[in-house]
Amino acid sequence: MTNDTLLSVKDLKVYFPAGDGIARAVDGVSFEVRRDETVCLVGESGCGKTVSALSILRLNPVPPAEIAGGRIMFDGQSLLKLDEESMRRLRGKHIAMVFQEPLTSLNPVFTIGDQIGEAVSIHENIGTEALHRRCVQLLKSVGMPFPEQRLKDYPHQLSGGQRQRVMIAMALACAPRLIIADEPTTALDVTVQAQILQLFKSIQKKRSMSLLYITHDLGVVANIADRVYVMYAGAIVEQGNTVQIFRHACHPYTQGLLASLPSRLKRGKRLYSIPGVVPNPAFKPKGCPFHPRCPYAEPVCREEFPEMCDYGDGHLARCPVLFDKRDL
Amino acid sequence: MTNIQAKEFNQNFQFDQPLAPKRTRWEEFWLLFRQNRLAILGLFIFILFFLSALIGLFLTSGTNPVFDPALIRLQEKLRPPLAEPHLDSLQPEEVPRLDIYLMGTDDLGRDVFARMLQGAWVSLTVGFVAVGISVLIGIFMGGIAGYFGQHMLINTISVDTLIMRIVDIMLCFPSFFLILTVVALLPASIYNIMIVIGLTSWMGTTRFVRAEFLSLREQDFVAAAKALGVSNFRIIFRHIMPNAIAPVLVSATIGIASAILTEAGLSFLGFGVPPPHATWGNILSNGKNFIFDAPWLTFIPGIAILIVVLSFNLFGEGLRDVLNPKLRERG
Amino acid sequence: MNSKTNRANHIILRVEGLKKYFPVRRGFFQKIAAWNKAVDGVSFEIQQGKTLGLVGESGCGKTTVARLILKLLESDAGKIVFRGTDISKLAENDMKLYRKDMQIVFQDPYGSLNPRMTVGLSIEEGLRILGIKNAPKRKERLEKLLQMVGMSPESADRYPHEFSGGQRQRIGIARALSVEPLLIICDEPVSALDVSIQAQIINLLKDLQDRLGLSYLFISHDLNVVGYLCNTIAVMYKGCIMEFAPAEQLFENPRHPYTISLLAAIPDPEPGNTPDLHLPERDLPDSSIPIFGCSFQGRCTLEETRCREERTTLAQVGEEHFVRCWKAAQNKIPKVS
Repeated sequence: MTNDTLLSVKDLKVYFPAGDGIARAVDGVSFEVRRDETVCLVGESGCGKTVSALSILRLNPVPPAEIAGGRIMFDGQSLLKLDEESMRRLRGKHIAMVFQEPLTSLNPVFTIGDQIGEAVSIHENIGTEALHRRCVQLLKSVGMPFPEQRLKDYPHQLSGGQRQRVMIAMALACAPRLIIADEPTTALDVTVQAQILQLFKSIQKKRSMSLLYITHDLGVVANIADRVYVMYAGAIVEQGNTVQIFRHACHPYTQGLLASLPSRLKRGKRLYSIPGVVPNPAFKPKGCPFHPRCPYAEPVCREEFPEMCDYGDGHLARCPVLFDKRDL
Repeated sequence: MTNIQAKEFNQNFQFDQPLAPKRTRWEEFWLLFRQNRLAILGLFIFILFFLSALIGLFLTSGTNPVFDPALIRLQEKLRPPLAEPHLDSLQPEEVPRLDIYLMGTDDLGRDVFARMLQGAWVSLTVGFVAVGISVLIGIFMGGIAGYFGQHMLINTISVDTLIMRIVDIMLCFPSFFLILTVVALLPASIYNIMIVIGLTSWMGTTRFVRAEFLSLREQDFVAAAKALGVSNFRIIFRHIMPNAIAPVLVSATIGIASAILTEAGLSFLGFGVPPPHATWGNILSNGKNFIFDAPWLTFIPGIAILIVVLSFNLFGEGLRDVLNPKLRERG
Repeated sequence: MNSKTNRANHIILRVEGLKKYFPVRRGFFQKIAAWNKAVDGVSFEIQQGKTLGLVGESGCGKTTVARLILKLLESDAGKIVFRGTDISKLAENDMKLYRKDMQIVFQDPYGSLNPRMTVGLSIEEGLRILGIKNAPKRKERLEKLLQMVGMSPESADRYPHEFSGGQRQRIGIARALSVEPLLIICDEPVSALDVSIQAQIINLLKDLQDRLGLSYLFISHDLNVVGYLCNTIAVMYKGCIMEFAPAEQLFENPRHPYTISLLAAIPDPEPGNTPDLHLPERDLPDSSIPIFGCSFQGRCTLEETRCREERTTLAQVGEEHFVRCWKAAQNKIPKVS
């Protein structure tokens, strides 16, 4: 761990009870976020990306969730060892979160001003006048037109994109050092999504903070990320910077995902598709969880959980089979 | 670009690896239901009640019943539960079965156990028939209001509005007094009571069948059925109804409890099933005159009603939890 | 003349000036305060065996168009000419003849299957409609249909909740195919699916088209999918078609400012390619407020007074290329690189 690291998650395991067994939603995930960088966790539904992110803020309901192991270090503090009160003080102030569905994440009976104001006043002692100015300034910083009037609006009076801007303003309220954004643009239209992504980028540049961005959309990842972690079935299968992941993908899953993206440039050609279904966390296959869908699977993949293989320069992939073939 | 050699798979690759091991609906239902102890207790008491009512019907009816609920032995009146009969003062045919008054005797020396058995059948049939009537009306009215609600009648009022206003009007009557009035006008008979209770308790069912239909009607699978060209009749009964029936079942279970209570109340006030036929309500009503001399005459039917009503409610709530589709998805 | 009739014969569905206004009721007496013009004069045609993509943001009326064509909703005005017959005014009874020729695949794989019916029963509903009364024959067809969409025949006895999203979507497609339709309306069929599953379903739809000669009306908000799958694309905004062109043309040479911004906003899975935006944040999307002129006003960067004063019309700017913008028609839109 270098001095540069803001957040590091080591070997995190989060289990859920599922019927007769346990679902290992997150099963030994390690990643880190450095200062001033944008890191993307990318994966399909049920791969454990949201659970991992929620564990950082300890927002997974325990029980049923159970943190079965691992360590989460934020700026030198071990988050899993903090008591609830210090954790509460940390949330919002140092680490803020933006959720997917902006309509349900805002309380419908309070005005935008009330909600942003609350986000500020929880962590800071501030007078009414100053609070108002602060709210206006926050809304301005997320590019909301007419912030003065908007403060008196209720969430339902805003469009989806505007609501997401309010959510971001609330996350920014106490100038956190890390923002965790869980699919913040999935519910939005493409044009609005592009605007929100741009907003994230400009805020990050201006404020020097880190962003942990969770998404399933590879297009968004390419657009916003400095470094990428690809998750599959509760584990990181590949990590690297954007160019490494998108130009030189080394894990069959990442390769398959990229090859299966439809685009007009592939017209007339058959799309590559990864066969099979995403495994249920409660019935994960033995060995490499991807082996039933993998075109390169060998007998060893059925038996052993694969190790991370180092391609150098921070590019790692969890596929020894392809690693051995890399120079052929 | 990516270096995948689109190594294609066998075209016949089967995509269905079902996620959960196969279980029938009943197995799944039972798995979930089993976890609710109170509901299991409710179900157990319900089965016990059902069996005793059914057996009671056979044991207490006919010309020479095993337990005769109408046999009067004035010399043996107000004997406490588990009392032994005074054999010297009784005719041989008057001696109670089992040689014991299990639940004592009433003011006319009738065996309370026999009368409770006979009353159990009355409660059971009143509960089921009354609720059966109310559920049938409720589903019919609710279904029409929910599915055909927008159709206008004579261009002035929609079907939905009409039915829901009727429901509102019916709900305005204090139904117990409505029942009292009707029963007072009609000849006293157990069937009239069932019908009257049924006819005055369908509004709740109508309301939520309509609500279910309104939301189900907008579901994609209903649109798909319409697009296939499935007839309205079939859409209502084959596609929507099975999805709407779960909450009806739950409320019906709880409705049985309240019908049993209503019948007991009517009998208690003397408007119920005519004597000498015993019901839990009229045993209770007779007993109130002797509450200090013979408390069992009040307590035995009272507690029986309490337990049966409670067990139906517990069972109904258990059903509601299990039939809740959100719980089901998780299971 | 011959070629013209030939072409007409190849058009399976033609929609002309389709309109649907929903009343917006307000106040205690639920008076109709305004009309929400969900679909406001939409026209297009679909050629036999081809795919028309209908693209637009949420709330632009594309799903309403699908429901109008299938007559799940009554249209207020316009013609729906299906195989030469205008079905827009047909009563439900006469509609029966055409029902089975047009089917729909829904977006939400969870809501589109009846949770209380086995997969087999759901699909057999269609076979009943087709008039296959003989049970073993139905069973045989059912197995064939399941195989056609890549499912095993054993899935017939299972309930929808036992399947994943992608599998349910396959089942939905099998149900649509059960009545041997000519046209399938796909209402965002892949947008609720995982990336790795999307490609499977897209391939399946394409294979089925090749095998059965199906025509598709493919509704989506994802321009990548539409660009891959469709022959022609119609871009919809606030109930109107803004641009209509063959897919290549639309991507190579978009004319309408809305199309241009839509294309610019596609997140590109190429690192470093940032979408280039010049689109002001949209205000409240309240389509009940009547506006005159172009419906894109307020968001358009090239807006002029004429845009607010003049009714817009679809103008032809190329072979099969139409655009609803007077500036684009006069070639006054600056090219974006």
